[in-house]
Amino acid sequence: MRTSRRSCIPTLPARSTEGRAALLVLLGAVAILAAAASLRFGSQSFSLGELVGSLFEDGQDTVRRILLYVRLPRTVAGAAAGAALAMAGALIQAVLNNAMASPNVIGVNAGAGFAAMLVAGAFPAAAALVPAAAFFGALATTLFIYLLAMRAGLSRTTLILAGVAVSSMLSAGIDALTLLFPDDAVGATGFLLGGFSGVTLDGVAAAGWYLAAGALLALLLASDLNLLALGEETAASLGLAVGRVRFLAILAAALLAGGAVSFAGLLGFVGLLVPHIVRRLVGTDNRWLLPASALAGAGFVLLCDVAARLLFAPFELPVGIVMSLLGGPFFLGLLLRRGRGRVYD
Amino acid sequence: MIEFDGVGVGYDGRQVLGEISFSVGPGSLTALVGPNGCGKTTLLRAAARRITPETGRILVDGKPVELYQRREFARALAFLPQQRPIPAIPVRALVSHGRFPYLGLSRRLRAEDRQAVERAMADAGVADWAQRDLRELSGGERQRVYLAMALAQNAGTILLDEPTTYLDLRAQFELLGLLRRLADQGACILLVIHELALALRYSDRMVLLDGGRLVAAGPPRQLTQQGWIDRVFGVRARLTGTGCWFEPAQEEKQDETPTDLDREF
Repeated sequence: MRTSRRSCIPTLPARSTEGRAALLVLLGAVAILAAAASLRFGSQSFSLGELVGSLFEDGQDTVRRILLYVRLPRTVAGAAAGAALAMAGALIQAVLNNAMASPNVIGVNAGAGFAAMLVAGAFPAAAALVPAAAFFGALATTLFIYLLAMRAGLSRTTLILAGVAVSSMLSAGIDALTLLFPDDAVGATGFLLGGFSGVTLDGVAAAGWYLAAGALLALLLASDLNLLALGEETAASLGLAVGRVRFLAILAAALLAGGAVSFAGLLGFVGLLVPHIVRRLVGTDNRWLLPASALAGAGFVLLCDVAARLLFAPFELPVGIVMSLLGGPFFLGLLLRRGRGRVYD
Repeated sequence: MIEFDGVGVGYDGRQVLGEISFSVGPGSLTALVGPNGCGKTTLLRAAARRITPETGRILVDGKPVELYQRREFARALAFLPQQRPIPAIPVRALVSHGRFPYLGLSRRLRAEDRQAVERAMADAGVADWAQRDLRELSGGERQRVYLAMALAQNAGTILLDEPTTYLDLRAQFELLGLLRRLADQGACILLVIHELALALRYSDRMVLLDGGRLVAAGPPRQLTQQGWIDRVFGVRARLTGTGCWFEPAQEEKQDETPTDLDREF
């Protein structure tokens, strides 16, 4: 049946359960290798032997200190932020049934960032409040865009435009905060561009619960989200509680994006790029798409962070810049290579 | 089995439908017809619980629709809306979504669900495309896949909103033939349709709406002979042996010389 008649359409790999499982393992392996590279390379590179050796020595030698207080937090942060933002992107695309949407595009990241900076400025001593503020900022922005779409019945394109408008308003708010309170917004440039220099394990751990809860909720919702692709009317007529599922998915996306932004800053693009690539590999089934996006997002951000450290060593670029420089052309190539009738929007 | 009992629907204080009463029993293919904006789709959406009527009751299998649990309702009634996105999804996966109202919390398909999916694909004639992506199929093929999904729902009542729109003639015939067979096997089918000739040929009952009111209901040929189609649509319907054709109500000036045969009608 599947012979030359349709051969002009590239067949997607990994559509069987075994193929998808193999792909998941592959993406996991890439993420682990990227994590190893992130531990190893930097302004000072270590051999694997040095890395392993330093773990078993008790002394406070330089290698061990760099590893524990610089490289390890940075690697954990990169993996967590990449996984969380990629999952949040896949979730938002499923909720809005719109492949153009992502936490970055519709202003979720900016909402999280604005709230985080506001709270960090107002209560400099309460660092633990930052992830909570970022979460509520992300949630408020997502709900606002969602309600706008539902009430006004916005088309897909209008929705994206509305998101861009909201996003630029919030970015203006962030810019205003950095100008008005330059002392409070410590490392604001790093925050605006997104990056992991100066990240601490405590900072990541404070957001850890948000990320874990968001990821768990996302995976629990995966099958129900698949029905949303059929359209609201059809999904509801099949007995899906459409409003509830959408709200919970938005909650999960806000937990993930807010948590990630609280320590990684405004990392764009990964939430748009990674779900797109992964969708081409495993298809549109969210039960595979969400975990695969998490692994691919972790791997992608870690590799970009390694590149950010190495490209102009000893100078270091914020990872957000590298991500856009590497991801942009790749994404464009992906769009151009799409065959007709293969557009997942 | 679906019953409408004095149903009235309004939007923003404006009444769109009023006093609609009729029922569709098992084994019937009923066509809901009427001019654009007469409230056909609104009635179907009210029956599918997408909107709530202001007055009257709608009963499915004898029970008011608002008393059903969400999934329980999806097991009793399947609804195919007219406008749908076309997701990139394999045919079997789409048809499997029809089993959603039967799944437990794990959302896993059990053996009986898989059997129901295969049976629905066979009944709708889409089994050969099980692995194909929905986007590779033609409009008529997609419509049959969606019908297979509704069949997998295993609901006694099936509502379809203009399922033949955008289909070529052959696909229209195939789809209506399939619906006719399902009705003959006991399904209760209510569809909104603009192609009157198809409705005349395949449905056993026609419900005619005009301006939000039910103006006539009955066997399609009988309604046509009584002149209901002519009055409501402002056309002249001509019944032939098994089919029908239509003319404008006022004979337009034609380039060709009118023949005696034309005047005779």
